[in-house]
Amino acid sequence: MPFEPYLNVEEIESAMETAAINNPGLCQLITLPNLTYEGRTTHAVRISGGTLADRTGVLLLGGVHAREWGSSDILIAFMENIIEAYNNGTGLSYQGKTYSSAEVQQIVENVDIFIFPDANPDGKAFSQGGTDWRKNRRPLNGEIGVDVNRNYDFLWDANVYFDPSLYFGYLYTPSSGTYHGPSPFSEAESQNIKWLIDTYPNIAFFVDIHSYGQKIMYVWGNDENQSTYSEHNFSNSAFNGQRGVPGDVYSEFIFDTDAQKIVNAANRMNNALFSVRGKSYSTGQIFHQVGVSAGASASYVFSRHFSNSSQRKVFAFGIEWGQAFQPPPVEMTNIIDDIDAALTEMCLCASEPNIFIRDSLGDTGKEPSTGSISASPDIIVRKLPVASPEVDLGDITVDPGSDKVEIGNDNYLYVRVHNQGGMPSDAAVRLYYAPLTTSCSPALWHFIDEVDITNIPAEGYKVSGAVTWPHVPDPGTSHHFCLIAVCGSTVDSFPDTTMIDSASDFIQFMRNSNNIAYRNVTFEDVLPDGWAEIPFVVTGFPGKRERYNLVLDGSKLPEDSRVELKTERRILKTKDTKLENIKTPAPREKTKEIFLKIGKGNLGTIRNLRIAPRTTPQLVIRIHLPKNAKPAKEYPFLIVQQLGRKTLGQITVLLRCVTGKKKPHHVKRRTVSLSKKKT
Amino acid sequence: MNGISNSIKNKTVKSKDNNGRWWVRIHLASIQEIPQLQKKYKIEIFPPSFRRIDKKNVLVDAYISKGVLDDMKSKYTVRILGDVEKLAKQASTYVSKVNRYKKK
Ligand SMILES: [Zn+2]
Repeated sequence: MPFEPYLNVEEIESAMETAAINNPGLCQLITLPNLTYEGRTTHAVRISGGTLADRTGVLLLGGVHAREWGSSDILIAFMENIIEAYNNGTGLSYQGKTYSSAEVQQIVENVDIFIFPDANPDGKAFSQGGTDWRKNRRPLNGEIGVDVNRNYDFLWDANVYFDPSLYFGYLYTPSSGTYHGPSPFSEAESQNIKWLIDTYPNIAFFVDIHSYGQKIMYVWGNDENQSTYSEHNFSNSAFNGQRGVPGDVYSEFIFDTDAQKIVNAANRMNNALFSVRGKSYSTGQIFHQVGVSAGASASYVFSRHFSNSSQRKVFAFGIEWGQAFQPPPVEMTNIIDDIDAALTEMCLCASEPNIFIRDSLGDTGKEPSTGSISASPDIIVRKLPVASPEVDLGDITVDPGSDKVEIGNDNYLYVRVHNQGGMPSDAAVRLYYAPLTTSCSPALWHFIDEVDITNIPAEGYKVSGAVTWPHVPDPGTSHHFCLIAVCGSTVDSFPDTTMIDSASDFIQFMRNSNNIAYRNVTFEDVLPDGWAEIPFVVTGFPGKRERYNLVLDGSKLPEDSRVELKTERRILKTKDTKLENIKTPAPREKTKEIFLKIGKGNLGTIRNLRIAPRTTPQLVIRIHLPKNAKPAKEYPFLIVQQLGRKTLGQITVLLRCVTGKKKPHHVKRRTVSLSKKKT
Repeated sequence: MNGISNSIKNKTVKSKDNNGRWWVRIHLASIQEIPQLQKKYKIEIFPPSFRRIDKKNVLVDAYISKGVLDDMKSKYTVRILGDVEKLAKQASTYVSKVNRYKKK
């Protein structure tokens, strides 16, 4: 192998300029806005081929620490290799690990690869002159330099956030190699990295490349990961002074599905690296691999979405290559192959399709979803098969609505599956029904059938063929159903329903996977001056006995409408249950059931409703439309079950005011209560 | 931690730095010993170099002032990997001295 010296600071910038000049349209030079203390301008490149518009971005960062020279060499080699392979239509070969030309094309045409190879050139130039150095070169307090990788705004002021038994003196000492600076983002170098992520909101993966230690790591870096207690999180000041100790009460919350994704990606990177020449890095959470960290890049980058949900969630990784800061160039050449294979694998992960079913018309597939749930326009029921689903149900900008399910007959289901990724995907869709319910726990689901959809186009969608729902049984809530569709593919698996052990698990589950959607919208025909009756069930989740809120929202009904809730007396028989704008009837004889009347404005709430775990008591909402209700108009009525302020689920009832002549759908009175049914 | 005591403390430690630093590998009984090391010695630990040998034994690399080596050796197993300043000088010879992109 030829002896190739390490790139110096000027060469790194020239390499990017050359790549951009020689590959217009494929490689774009990005000038970072903040000059370093010594006046250097830094650059990044974006590699982006083909014509796809909405692409996933991957940000690869190197050179943050001055003496870890090889990170820049790794990234420049990666840039040159992938550009060359794409231009020549060849694959990539890193010793024992190869990528086909199709894989190279898939990456370059689906992903925006952002490469920022030398974030701290002042430090590198100083270090390459023959002095050991880690920080940048800005003079402060009579000392020189800030550790750029302790300067991010994530638990930066460690003494406030972490357990006092931990030692962080080195962060606050200007002479230390890990001095965190006078304030978060005080440094041009860290500001530039933040700028890149702010400026390119499609960035969804981040890898920060360092040396040394032979590790591939993922968030979080401040405490152990857990997926049970969402209140245990970096932004909750109630836990200040408790973070950073392994094995104690506090540990950092991460959604289960996020954890699966990052672990999977880290393992794939390590497998690719292993194939190069048999090296195996240790993979794991940053906190486990290197101990507690504060103000560091990966946790900051991942935390952005949780601090501000309008920012995209960025899955964040750190690599520590090699066994020394400056291995001899022959060994560095091998390490470049190791890490470039891992980075190619990371980009391959980012290029894969991402299928989803919308929760509402406004849902774009982003995870976690924050908008309306339980109103999927992509799950459609028809009494008769549709002649040409692609045409008749092909306009995804509208909700084609659902026919009323005919009990005892065959009905037909259609699903529209979307593909957010840049390449076509197959999908399998599983359909379920449940009684009309405020929170559609998997314990209530009944399997209908599975359907395969092939070749869903990139950034497109496809309508399934008909799924026959034979001899539809009565769900126990008259003809009112909740329908559930779950999709999966070889690279985007079915969500795991077995993790739901509590109401808060269910909230996470719903919000955090775009592979599941509900249509919990039902309708009822009603005459002016007539009553509608809609039975539904509320769900008591397993785990501890929770207090739920039930919001009954008829604020969009005509003014003189009347709303009643029929319920069992015993559910309300707890001390702390409060009725807001809901009247109880004067006490008469002790009946099992009572009729609550919702007051003015038809908006009322039952607070602290106790529902025993694993029970599903049935309630009935009764709505009377006034004489002057407008025929042919649809009036929505919402029933929302909440845990604290968080929505567990929602039923939308659409009341269709029919003209006087037509007989409204006959509501069969059911006496069977579901309340004793174990789910 | 206030600035004055820092600067005084740093001055005393710096005089030791003039003798240079060792790059060392330290054998610890547990990861929990790291904060003690950080408090006690002029040391720059490299957390990514942590390696667990088994449940109880950890190896970690660091730069230490040459002056603290004897004291540290009396309490821990310490192996010298190199002389930091000499290694830095040697490594500078691995760096390109021209701009290979400008030649093209
Ligand atoms: Zn580093």
